[in-house]
Amino acid sequence: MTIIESIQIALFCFAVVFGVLTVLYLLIKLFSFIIDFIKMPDKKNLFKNKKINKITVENVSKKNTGLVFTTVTDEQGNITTYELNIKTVKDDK
Amino acid sequence: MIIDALEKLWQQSGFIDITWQQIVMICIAFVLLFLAIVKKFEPMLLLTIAFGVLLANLPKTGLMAEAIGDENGGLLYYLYQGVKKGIYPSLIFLGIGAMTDFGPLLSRPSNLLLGAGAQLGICIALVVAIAFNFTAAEAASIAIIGGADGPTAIFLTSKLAPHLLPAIAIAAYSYMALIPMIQPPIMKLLTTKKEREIVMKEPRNVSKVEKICFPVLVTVVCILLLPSVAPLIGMFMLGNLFKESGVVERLSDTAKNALINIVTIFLGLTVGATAVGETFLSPDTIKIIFLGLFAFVFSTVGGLLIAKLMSFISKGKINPLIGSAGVSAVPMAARVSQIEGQKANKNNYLLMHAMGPNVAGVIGSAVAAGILLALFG
Repeated sequence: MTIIESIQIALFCFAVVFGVLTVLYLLIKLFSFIIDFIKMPDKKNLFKNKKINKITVENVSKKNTGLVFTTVTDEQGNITTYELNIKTVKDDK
Repeated sequence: MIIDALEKLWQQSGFIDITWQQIVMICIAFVLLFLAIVKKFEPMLLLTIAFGVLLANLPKTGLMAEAIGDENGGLLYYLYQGVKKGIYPSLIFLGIGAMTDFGPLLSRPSNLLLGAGAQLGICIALVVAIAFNFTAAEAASIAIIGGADGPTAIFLTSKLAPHLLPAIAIAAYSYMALIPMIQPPIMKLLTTKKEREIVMKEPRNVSKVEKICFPVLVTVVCILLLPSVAPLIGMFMLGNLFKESGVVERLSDTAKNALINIVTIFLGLTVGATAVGETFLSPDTIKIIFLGLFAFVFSTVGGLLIAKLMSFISKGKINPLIGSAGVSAVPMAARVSQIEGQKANKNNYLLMHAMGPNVAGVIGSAVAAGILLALFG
């Protein structure tokens, strides 16, 4: 095999790897869109372009810093992460 | 009488037949054992490979002797059939699949492009190996070291160039162990301090349904496009389905613990046992070790460049350091991204973000192996 042929094969190989993984990327995007769409409680509003203020708290996680974060997802699928602070601590008694 | 017995014993001992190549290989085995035990460089495989090298280079053992007629072969000869037929790498992929969490990848699917970019080293090393007068099949086997995926390198080499297996396996696992030394200078060279300081947003939550459907989807798409990747991708995704489905806990547990451990012992020992002095000590081995490093470096560069491009397009939302994790070595490469990110910014936690490109790299290198196998097999 000549160097030119090897360059052609290398480019072809790289392009195919990129192509296959791009196809997977697009399929995952499509798939997650379908899943989100199925899970959406009020699908009609998506087409009527109504703005929904209802938000859901999906996850509360603790980072290594000791700070508490919560991930909030609205009906449009927008995700916002908030840092929670405890301002006062009251005794239960 | 006693002198005769001693002379007979001496004649039957290995000392009389030992060659200088075997002595060198035994010394190499000692070095590898030192690296595995003292320096803890990929000890799971390096220790067994080193012991295989030691056993194969002790004379008169017949451990790798082929079965001829009614005469039985050596123990390692039979175990080696699992490497020769490509069984062990696929079974290791089953175990790796059962240990892999695709959540970080699914939360940001664009990570797949980083996994693809990090296969650049394979392509460049292929061209350079051809320039070094290796045949196309040998060049493909050497180039796959750039995928930083041991089982994939062994799988491809056992099919395309089995005579290069020991050199390629040792080079692949050694460089994987040396990732904390190889990658950081390249990462610093290709990124600015400002880029390294970027704090990425928390990834979105991935539903159970997505996690269950992903292995099935990848299996169907990849194998339909490239049927030659079926043994690797098929087993990898089956292992992952065991884990994510949650209905076969025992199978998942066996795949990620007992099975992978047993196969690792057989694989390491027999790959090491193929490193016989007469064939291993050749200029080709030195070329392979050099080309392996070359492939590794360019794979890291490829991942970083794609990550830089994505960072630019996303207006600084992606830290380019996660690109280097696109080489498969899981989770070592992701850990290096985390360490380098924290060096630039103490509040930077890149580990989970880097796991996405890391597992994408496993898929990418398996796909690259499938293409090379389809072209040269």
